Amino acid sequence: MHNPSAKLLIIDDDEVVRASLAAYLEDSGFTVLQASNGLQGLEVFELQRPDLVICDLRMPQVDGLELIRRINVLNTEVPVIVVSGAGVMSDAVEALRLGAADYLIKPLEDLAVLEHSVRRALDRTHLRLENQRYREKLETANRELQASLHLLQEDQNAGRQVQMNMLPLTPWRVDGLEFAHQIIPSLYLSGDFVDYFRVDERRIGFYLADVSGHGASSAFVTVLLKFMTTRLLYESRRGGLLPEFKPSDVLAHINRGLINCKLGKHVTMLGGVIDEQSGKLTYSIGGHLPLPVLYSEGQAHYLEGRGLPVGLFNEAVYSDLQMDLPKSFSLTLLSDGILDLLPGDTLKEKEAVLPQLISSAGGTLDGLRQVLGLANLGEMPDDIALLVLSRNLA
Amino acid sequence: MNPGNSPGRIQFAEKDGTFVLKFIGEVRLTLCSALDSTIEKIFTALNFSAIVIDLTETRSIDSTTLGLLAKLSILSRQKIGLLPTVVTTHADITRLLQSMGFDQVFNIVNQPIPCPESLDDLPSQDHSEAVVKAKVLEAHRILMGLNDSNREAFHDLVSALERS
Repeated sequence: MHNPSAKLLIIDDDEVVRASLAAYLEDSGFTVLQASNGLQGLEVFELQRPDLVICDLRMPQVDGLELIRRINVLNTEVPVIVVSGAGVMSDAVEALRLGAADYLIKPLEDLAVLEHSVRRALDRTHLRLENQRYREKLETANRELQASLHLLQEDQNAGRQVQMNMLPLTPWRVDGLEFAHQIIPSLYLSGDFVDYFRVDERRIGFYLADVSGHGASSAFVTVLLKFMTTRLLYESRRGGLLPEFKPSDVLAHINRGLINCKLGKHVTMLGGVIDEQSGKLTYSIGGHLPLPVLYSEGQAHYLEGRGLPVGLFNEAVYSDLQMDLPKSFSLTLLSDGILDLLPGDTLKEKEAVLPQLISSAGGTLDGLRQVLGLANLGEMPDDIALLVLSRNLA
Repeated sequence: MNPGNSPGRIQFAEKDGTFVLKFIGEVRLTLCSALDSTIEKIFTALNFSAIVIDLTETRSIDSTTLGLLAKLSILSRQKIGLLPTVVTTHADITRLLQSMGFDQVFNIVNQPIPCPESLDDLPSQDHSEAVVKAKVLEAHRILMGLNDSNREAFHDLVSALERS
């Protein structure tokens, strides 16, 4: 609703008419200013800034139409109601074309009609102004949101850069072994992480981890993982020769570390060490799905193993499993995000299909990328990580 | 909860000293970190002698929810020396719990109807095997009773969360 005590300006060279309009409108609760010609009217307008103008069309010097033009130039959005005795159609049309709010014919028999017209014009202006204010507010809010979003995106991107820099080189070739990985975050930052590294002159270590949840909070934990594993390696090396470096010890170490940090986050992970002298793989599993898939001579199957997730239970004990690595093989480690890409309605069906897919992909990461269409994935509900280590693949 | 997924619900009820948690639908707690403190509050407020987690109407649980379950296991062990009983009848959920090694930290029962045969390989805990089995069966019976008769015994955990 408009302000009921709005300020009106009546411009009319006819004293009697002007006074009667003013008296009526004052009785209706308006504040009324008066002017007896166009020029004076403009002066009062500039000084007092009324909310609405009622003016006669036919006046000496500055007539009603000219007055509307000059008020228009001031860009004030103040409505003008024209009253005129000279019922000339062209004047009425011109006045309305210039933006007059209404056109009333003199003599005004019923002043309630004028009052109604005034109120309607004030309401319309009020609504228009309110609309404009809302729009400006919205546009401002939108701009601010866009800016904040942009800032957040930049922030996430910067975080992503850091996370990408923590990841190992891909592909990485070492003594006939090849490691390759791909991580597809469901947001900018990933709660999945992989790493592989030389432990000493005869051993190579690797792991794939999936931090609970996803996004920034989980990504922080991947930084911690990188730190814990790197530091453990460094500490183990300090005595010169590295003692036993068992995956189960690494898992137990990370388990203690995460519990002590009280982050409310846990990790499922697969870790392994390859001894190049004995040709054996030792690996340990911390509550992870799906299990690693070994592909060799055209056949693919899951490796055995289970264990509690890492970072939940103080008393968790991890065990090592050992196997001889074939001359030619690939070992695929995946995070559970991959399950969202597999055909089938149940976990059982999805798990059954995975080794077949890896076979048809020839056991390579590139093959898997193609088979699963990783290049053109839409938005995924969970992070996806793939780590493939291979030797002498045809 | 993520928009776009049918949001899951977590409900709880208490009867005769048995504390029951029921996970319904697709339970995702990715962005809900306050739930475990709520559970802890409920725990400290109630005197109970057994915990049952009903996963028979669960379609899927995310890793954060699994973390919450683990916390329940630890709390239960600390407070009553007994592991919580998990009832699961969906192969997928059972497989998931298996892969997490949760059979070491829960009494997992794969049958909707409580029967002694289903208690063959419960993990070791602080009480004698006979006591544990009796407790699990009892807890299970209470759960069945709650399911059949008085669903209104269950409260929404999320609204409890909003009140706290």
